[in-house]
Amino acid sequence: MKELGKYLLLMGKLFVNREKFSIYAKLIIDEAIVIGTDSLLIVAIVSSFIGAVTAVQTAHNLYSPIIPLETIGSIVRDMTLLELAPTFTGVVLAGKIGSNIAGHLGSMRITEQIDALEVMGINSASYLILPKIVASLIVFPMLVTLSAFLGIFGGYVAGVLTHALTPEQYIAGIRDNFHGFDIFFALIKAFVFAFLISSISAFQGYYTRGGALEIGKASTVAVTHSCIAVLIADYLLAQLILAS
Amino acid sequence: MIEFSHLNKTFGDKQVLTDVSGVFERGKTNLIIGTSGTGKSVLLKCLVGIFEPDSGKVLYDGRKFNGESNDKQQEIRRDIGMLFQGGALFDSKSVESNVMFPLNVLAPKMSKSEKLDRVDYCLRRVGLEKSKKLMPSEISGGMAKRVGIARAIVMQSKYLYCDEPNSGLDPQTSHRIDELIKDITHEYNITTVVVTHDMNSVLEIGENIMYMFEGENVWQGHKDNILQTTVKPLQDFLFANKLIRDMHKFS
Repeated sequence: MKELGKYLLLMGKLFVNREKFSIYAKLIIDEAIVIGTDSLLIVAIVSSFIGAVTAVQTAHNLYSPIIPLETIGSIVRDMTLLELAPTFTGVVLAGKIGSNIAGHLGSMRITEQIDALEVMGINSASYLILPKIVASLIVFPMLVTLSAFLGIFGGYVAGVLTHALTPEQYIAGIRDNFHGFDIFFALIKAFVFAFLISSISAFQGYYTRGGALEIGKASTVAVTHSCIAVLIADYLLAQLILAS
Repeated sequence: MIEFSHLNKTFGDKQVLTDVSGVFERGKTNLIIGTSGTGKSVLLKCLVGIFEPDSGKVLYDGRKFNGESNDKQQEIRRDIGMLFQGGALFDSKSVESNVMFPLNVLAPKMSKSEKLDRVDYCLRRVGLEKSKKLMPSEISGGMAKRVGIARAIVMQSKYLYCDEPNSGLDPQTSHRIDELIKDITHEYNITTVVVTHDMNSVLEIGENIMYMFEGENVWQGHKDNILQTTVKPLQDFLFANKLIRDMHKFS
């Protein structure tokens, strides 16, 4: 509970005594470029393969002749949009971006760079953390959108190459009974995961004490806590939005 | 002038500062000396607001600092420059960008050419005008300290804090840093506070010296009077240094 209180106080500190918006704008763009370009390849690889695996495994489990093969396309689409694209991207980014944020802030803390900012009269929490959170909120939905596209495309490639179904059947399947809200739901998840991953990792890094060993520990804890938070939020969002 | 009175600070059960009071005068190099672990750096961090003292008062030219709102503290902090023990340079920025950083964030209305002129002047002042494009990883410890000094004075600070500016430096570079700190203090008529346990610094630049022992201020005075002290822990501290022993024997 003490840690939670400290985390909430840090979040509150982000919005007091901020610098001018123009200063943040440049930082947000820089962070967004780093988060986006650094994560693009891994998100693309993971998404393509999970889409492909979903298609192949669904085809393997469909042995009833009364279920049309188009269903494979529908299942890949729904699985990808509702769960795989946002959650896999979230977990992958928790590892990649979370550890990066915690390590960066942790090293700034132990080399007194954060103290230097404070002495200059700059709100270090706001200056360092807010751009990372805002950049994540911008970039994560883009990455989840890309992930969903590549996941569905990966399913198409795998399904067609293994002759599980024809291209026409797959396209018909992903168009059948499509709910636009699923995309909206995936983006809500992306926003929530972006905030959780960036803020939890920043919290761990910002309060690092000690030396190099502690930076490593902070990165590990940041990834672990972010992953757990993503999974809990995933369940809660599904329960709150889809079950209501 | 920096005045502080009855400062106390504890970490858990450990009392690190006990009723510490003192005055650091303007236009002088004020030194805080003492053995390791005696609370010098903690006092410095309480004075600049990195740590909040448990009790006591800190005044900057009569302006109350600790316990004030963030806005008021930040206003005073913008008059403070600090040289950290390891330099605390931003790794991702070049020497020039490090020095320009406070201007970019705190003086956004200043034109780019004015900023560049100010940065060039500060880098010339510390003798690093040819190294401005280098990254912190490409410069030596002594150069990093000089960049730290340039960054600390670029905002034309009224108060300059230096945390162990000579640590890890050879005697020649150490002397150069001491001279630089002394010259800057007199040239800009600022209040400089230096935390050190280097006796060479004490004898060279110590105009107002405060000796701390076990979290307390046990002696304060000019360097000319320090050798006549009757305070036992200070005598022990001084005579642990060979230079002082030799001077004493000679006199």
